[in-house]
Amino acid sequence: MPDSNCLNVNHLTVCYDRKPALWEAQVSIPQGTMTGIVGPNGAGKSTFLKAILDLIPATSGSVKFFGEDYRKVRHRIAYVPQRESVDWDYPISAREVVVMGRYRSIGLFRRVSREDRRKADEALDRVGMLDRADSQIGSLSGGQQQRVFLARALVQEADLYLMDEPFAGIDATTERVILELMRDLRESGASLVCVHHDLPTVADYFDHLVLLNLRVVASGAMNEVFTREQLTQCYGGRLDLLSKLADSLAKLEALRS
Amino acid sequence: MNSPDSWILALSWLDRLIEAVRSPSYNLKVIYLGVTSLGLAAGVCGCFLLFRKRSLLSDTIGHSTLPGVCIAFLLFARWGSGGKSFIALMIGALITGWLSVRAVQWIKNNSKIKEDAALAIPLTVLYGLGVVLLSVVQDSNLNLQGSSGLEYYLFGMVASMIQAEAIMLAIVSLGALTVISLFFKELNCLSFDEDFVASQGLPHRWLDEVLMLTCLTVTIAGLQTVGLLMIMAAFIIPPATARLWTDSMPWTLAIAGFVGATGALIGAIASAVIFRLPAGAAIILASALLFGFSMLFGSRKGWVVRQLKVARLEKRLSENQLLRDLFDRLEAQQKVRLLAGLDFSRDLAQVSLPVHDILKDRGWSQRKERSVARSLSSQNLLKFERGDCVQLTTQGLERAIAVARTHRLTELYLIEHADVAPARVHQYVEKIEEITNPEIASDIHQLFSNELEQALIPAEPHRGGDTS
Repeated sequence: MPDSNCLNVNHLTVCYDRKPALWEAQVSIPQGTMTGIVGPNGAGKSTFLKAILDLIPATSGSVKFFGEDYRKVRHRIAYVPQRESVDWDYPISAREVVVMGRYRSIGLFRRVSREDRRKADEALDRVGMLDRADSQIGSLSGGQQQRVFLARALVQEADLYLMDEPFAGIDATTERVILELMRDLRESGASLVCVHHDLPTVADYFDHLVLLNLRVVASGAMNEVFTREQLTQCYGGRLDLLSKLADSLAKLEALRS
Repeated sequence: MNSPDSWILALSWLDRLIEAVRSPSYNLKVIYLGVTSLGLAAGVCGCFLLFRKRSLLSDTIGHSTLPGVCIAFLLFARWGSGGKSFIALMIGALITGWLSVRAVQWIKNNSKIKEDAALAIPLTVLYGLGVVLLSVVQDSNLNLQGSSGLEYYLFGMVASMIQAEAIMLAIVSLGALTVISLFFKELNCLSFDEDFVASQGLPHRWLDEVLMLTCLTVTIAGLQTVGLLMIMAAFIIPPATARLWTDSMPWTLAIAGFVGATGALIGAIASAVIFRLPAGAAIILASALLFGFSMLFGSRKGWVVRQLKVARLEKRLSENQLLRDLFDRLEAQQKVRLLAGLDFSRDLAQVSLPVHDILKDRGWSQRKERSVARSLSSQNLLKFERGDCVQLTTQGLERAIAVARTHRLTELYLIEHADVAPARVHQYVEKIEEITNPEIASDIHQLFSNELEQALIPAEPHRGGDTS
């Protein structure tokens, strides 16, 4: 059964060390949109992405991509982790990183073909990094590293791109390149969901918005969600209570176990 | 020291060294095969441990094998045919070694204890248990046959290696290398970005398990050769050495394997030559020598390479500074402001400039000044004139203008966009010039491109006043 939403999240709750990091998240994202996930530090933005991708276990809730379980539609989803999540001193070139995006379609025990390398070069070209294809990744600037990560997602030829802070700590050129590329992808029918940290640019970059602060404060089209009341609710002080609740819940659970 | 005895000893060592290298006995050849296989496999496996930040796991495994070895020995002495069976001892080692890996994971997952302590607890507890059991085994009252060989497991011993052991090492090594080459693509990805492997639906837990079992097997196989106290070094030193030479993972594996094998071979020879020298210690020291050599001469991050890079950078900086000074003088002397499109180069290149007053301003030694000027002249950027004067060539003038332009624009940028006081900006730019790469320079040029339509090069901002 086809679904007009690329992502449906129902009552998703995630705990770290028994402490809830995300409460009953309820989100629907239509296809062909660019969605920003915004919220204060420690609001559970990365947790949300990781949990829907099964990278960390969810306590409860259900997640559907294109109306299906993640396992069935994995090939339609590309994930761009936070830049800080890997060791950039690793002995690997930009091209080799991008080729990793093809590993699943290559399969176990098979070698990387010339066609895979060509696709990697094509993706590197799209992010303006072809001339640095053979550079060790540690010698690239932060923005260039981010573009390499993006190229690795591009070679997966996905329908949904999940990105964790693609705009964090990058230069103006990279910001422009990434943004243009994201808009191109949307034009061609893909959907994008990005964790974003910079409130002033949110309304320019995205057309849909999820406000997150341990729970989903609001989600929907930009003009409905990006309002003063919603933002105050998301960033305002009254969430102290929720995090206090989470703390005491964690203590209780720890006692019980 | 000069007593005849020590001379005789040294000579006999030399004799045996020559023999061990030139015409090794069959026994020695067996030993060489065994230790080289082990060094190779440990070096290659160690790369993945290093990049997964699990290097110390091999230490935990190593120490934790002692109780397994002792228990296996006791069981075998009681119910077996008596004496040592190295297969039985290895199975014992494998069991407690594997237990320690599980214990580390369990502690990490089920408590707030961090990785380092999680590694240390099974290590110390199981090793402690091993030491207790060892003292039981070696209790002279029990009079267990063959128990005197058990301390070899602590420090390593190759002299007693039999053919079966060497062949076992070779097979384990071959097996480990096969596993790694079969899954190289995935293991490489796993070591770089585990979350990505997981998000791709590749079997990352299973791959992790395969990697750990491979390392465990190699560790156990190498116990008697290197000794359980030092086996970790066979996993750590070779990859660390390889890192100093290359930026590619296949080469890292190859070099680590080579360093591991070479170190093991040298150590084994030393241990064969010098009576009672524990092979483990010798192997580690030999690998450490290779590591030290690479620290100095490694092509990637070696000390010598770094010094050369620094020297090259310094040279280029001094050249740029001199060119810039010459250009400043030229500008002052000729009272010109360079405008875009003006054909200035032909005339200005002919002007002679005195060098000695630059020397004064910069505080350079005469020798430094000379060497910088000579280097510029060898690149055909300036010519020496009579009376301590120099003349820029056309190319020299071009580069001088480019350097001065970037320098002054950077100053302007700092004054206008970073609110640095004009009087203080000079001292910053001297530093900033060292880090202004072409990319930053082109950004700055871009920024001022509108204002610079007329002037090719702005006036010195911190001197001020003479803008047209």
